[in-house]
Amino acid sequence: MEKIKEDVLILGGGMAGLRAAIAAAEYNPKLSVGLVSKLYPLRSHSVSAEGGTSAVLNPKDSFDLHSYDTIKGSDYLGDQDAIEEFVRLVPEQIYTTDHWGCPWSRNPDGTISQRDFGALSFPRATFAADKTGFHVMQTLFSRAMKYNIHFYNEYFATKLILNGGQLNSVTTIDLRTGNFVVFQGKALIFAMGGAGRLYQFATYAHSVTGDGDGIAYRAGIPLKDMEFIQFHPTGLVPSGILITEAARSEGGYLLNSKKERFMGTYAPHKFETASRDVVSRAIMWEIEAGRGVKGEYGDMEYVYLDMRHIADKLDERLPMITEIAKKFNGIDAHTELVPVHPATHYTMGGIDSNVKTTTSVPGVFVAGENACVSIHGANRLGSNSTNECLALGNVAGIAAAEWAVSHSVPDLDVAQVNDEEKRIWEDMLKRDGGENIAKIREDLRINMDKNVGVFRTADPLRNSLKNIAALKERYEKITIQDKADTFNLELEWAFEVGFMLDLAEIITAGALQRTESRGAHYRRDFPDRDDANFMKHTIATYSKDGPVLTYRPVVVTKWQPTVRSY
Amino acid sequence: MVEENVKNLREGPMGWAKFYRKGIGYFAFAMHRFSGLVIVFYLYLHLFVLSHLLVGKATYNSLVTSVTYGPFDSFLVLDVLLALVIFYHGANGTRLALNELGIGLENNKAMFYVFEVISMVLLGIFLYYAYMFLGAS
Amino acid sequence: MEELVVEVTRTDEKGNQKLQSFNVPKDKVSTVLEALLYIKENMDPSLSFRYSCRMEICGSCGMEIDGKPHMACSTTIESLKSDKVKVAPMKHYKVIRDLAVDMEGFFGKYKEVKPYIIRDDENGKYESEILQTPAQFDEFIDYSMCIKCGICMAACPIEGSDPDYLGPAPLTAIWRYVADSRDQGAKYRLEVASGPEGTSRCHFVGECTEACPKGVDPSYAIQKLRGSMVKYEFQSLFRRH
Repeated sequence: MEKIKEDVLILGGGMAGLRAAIAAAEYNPKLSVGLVSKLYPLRSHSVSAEGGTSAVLNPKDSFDLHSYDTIKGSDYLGDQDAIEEFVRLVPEQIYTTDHWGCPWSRNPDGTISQRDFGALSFPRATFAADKTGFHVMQTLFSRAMKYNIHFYNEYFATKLILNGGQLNSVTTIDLRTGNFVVFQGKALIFAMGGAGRLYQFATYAHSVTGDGDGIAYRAGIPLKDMEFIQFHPTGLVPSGILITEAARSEGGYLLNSKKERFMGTYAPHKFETASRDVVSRAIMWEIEAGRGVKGEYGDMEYVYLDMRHIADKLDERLPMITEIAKKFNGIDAHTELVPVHPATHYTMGGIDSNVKTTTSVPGVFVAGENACVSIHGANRLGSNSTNECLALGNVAGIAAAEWAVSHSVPDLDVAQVNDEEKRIWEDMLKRDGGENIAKIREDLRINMDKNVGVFRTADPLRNSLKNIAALKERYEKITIQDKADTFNLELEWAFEVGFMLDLAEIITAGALQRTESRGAHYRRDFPDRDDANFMKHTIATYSKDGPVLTYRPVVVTKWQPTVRSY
Repeated sequence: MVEENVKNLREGPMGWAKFYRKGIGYFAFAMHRFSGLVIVFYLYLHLFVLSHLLVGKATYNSLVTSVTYGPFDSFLVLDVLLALVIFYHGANGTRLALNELGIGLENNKAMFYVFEVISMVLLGIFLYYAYMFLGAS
Repeated sequence: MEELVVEVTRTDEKGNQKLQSFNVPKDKVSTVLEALLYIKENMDPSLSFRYSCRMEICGSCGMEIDGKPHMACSTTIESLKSDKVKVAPMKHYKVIRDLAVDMEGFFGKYKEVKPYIIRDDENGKYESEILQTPAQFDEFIDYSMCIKCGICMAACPIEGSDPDYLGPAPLTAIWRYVADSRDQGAKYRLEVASGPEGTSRCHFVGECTEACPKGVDPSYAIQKLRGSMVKYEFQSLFRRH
């Protein structure tokens, strides 16, 4: 067993994690900052963010307008005080990253350019072509080279150990050596991203398996609003690779099998640039009505994204998706139609937090997709995730650094650490029931796609709970065939699937209990929003018999819930 | 993982001789190395022969005769190969020097072909005159 | 059913190498990465390799495919035009296990070139952008597309004989910042570039450019860097010290 102590410990090397690390290192250069990630930071899924990041930079725009768009997008489930504070934090982050080298796309006069995006009332999506996440990540990672930040790359975190409700340590496996490494920090920041790979057809990287949510949940930190999973309207068929929303905000159309532009029926004002939940449902309805295209990509029915009439814009403003369509599907977007289908894209829920990024455990902070502040409520607005990572990553980094200055590293809880070591090497690795971990994962994903997808109904949800219980039993009987110490990815998979099973249960249970339709959560048996009973967040807490769900009211300041239409 | 057991896939100069699925730039590079070595080898050979002048006229003359023509005049072929190597190296070297100054950078591959073709034409002219010279003597 | 034969050069924890072939049904996979995942999920769970985004942007899955370094995720089975594919770890790196190689050295070199904007007026306050015209923007944007996959290092023959040579990606990073109008750190960077392990080691082979999955053109960047280095050194002759 190896022990490593840091002042500020950060789990996750994506955008929020890197931003927090830089913020902590800048706050006080004497602090030692450790960043633990299961990948090299640049391999994180944040690099895949495409379209843009909303920020109020133009004097004609206003913070209130940005807040209102976010709140309307969230279907009034976002906490309005948090949103109002959050939008004020964003512009500085755009300028900061600009000073650090991020190539934000420019206007002819040299200022930062902005473009329209889904469900925005002012074109405020700041962008770096259609590689926004990529460029911001490169900028942050490169900037992090300047500070004395200790990178612990390819360490897989297995457990958060709390002692009497206080932060104690985090246990990890060093994938390179197979060593059991225990990290201790005065303050800890969770920035481990979402849980999108619970689904088969997802825009997510393979590595987004909800580890952060799973670890926190098992340690007793409550999760919030997990049933809200965003489906992005345009995942490329068959791989699920994201085709950015900018494709539609720049003027792209969605066409059904009759080559008709169908969005007018569902969003008469905004058409294709309505919010993501609305467009995703519209596509699914079209497919259900028999107007989906069934063709060369197996059983999956899809619709077309038509960018032929904006062909002249593609190379400058949408180079990446043009390249992707060409490389992966052999389709020339200038002259051909691109097959798309709604794909899992964002986990609105996460560790219960607030705009100060604190959690129920003192000294533990959370930022990025891992957190549920809640800014995004029931549906995240496109272009509101990268700015959250930057703004709240910064807040978390400073908060953690402040905390670290006035606190000390606790004595290691050796008993719990030893238990965890035993669990890994004597329980997990030596289980021998013959079940294949990859099969369990596949079955879980099929179940989630089928029963807890865009449309939800009581019976399939109940079935899903049964399936998950059965999968959990099978999980107890897995055999990890790879016994090697070095780079044992099968062992990593086993832990990931453990977290995924927990989260799938929470999501399904939350969806079953929320008998209304709000944002991304759509119940066929309850198609209307129910503000009287469900203007509240779902809080899920761990218990041995499954998640315990409680509710907390939404904070409303200026904007009373009204009918939401685009 | 034990550090010593880890395989290092660094091939060193031996890797230079592998042309499978490599581009023309790689060919130019590898041949440049090879021709450079040949030219250096020739330089030492040349100095070795010249150094016999220190011994005396007779020794030098007999050595020059033997290394120039060899058995059945076969060493003349080596002379032709030497000229080939020098012309190749010179042309590619000129291209690289120009490229490094930023001249023709965009079309460096086309430039390689053009320079080599020119140098081979020059080589042909050179060999023709060399042959004429030999025939005359 | 048509099958694809995947021949993998495997290395176990102790450093022993062997070749192992797997037959993967062609209709289940569309890229080399999917083929490897198929093998790991259905045939041999002990096969190790890095992967993440599967859309050629994270830079995880660089490996040697049929003798040339490629991203596994963007190499489609169709593009192989064959029923057999040879997969091996990237050259010039240490192998950790199977197809996973040690990237520490690569990122160490990247860190060495100070790959971030250096400004004299930096004070921690960021209240507006630094103006940059589209023309200035175009000077460096192509070189900022590097995904740090390390494929160029595997393609570079100099990297194969001189482990200390900075290599295509770090040198391109130098040029990316030197060419950025917002940067004022050219002095330090050009010193690194003109150092013993800098641009002078490059022989303009161009294999890095051939191999780069994102079309960054490192060899061109290095030549441009050479030009600005000469200019810089020349000017410094007339500068008062």
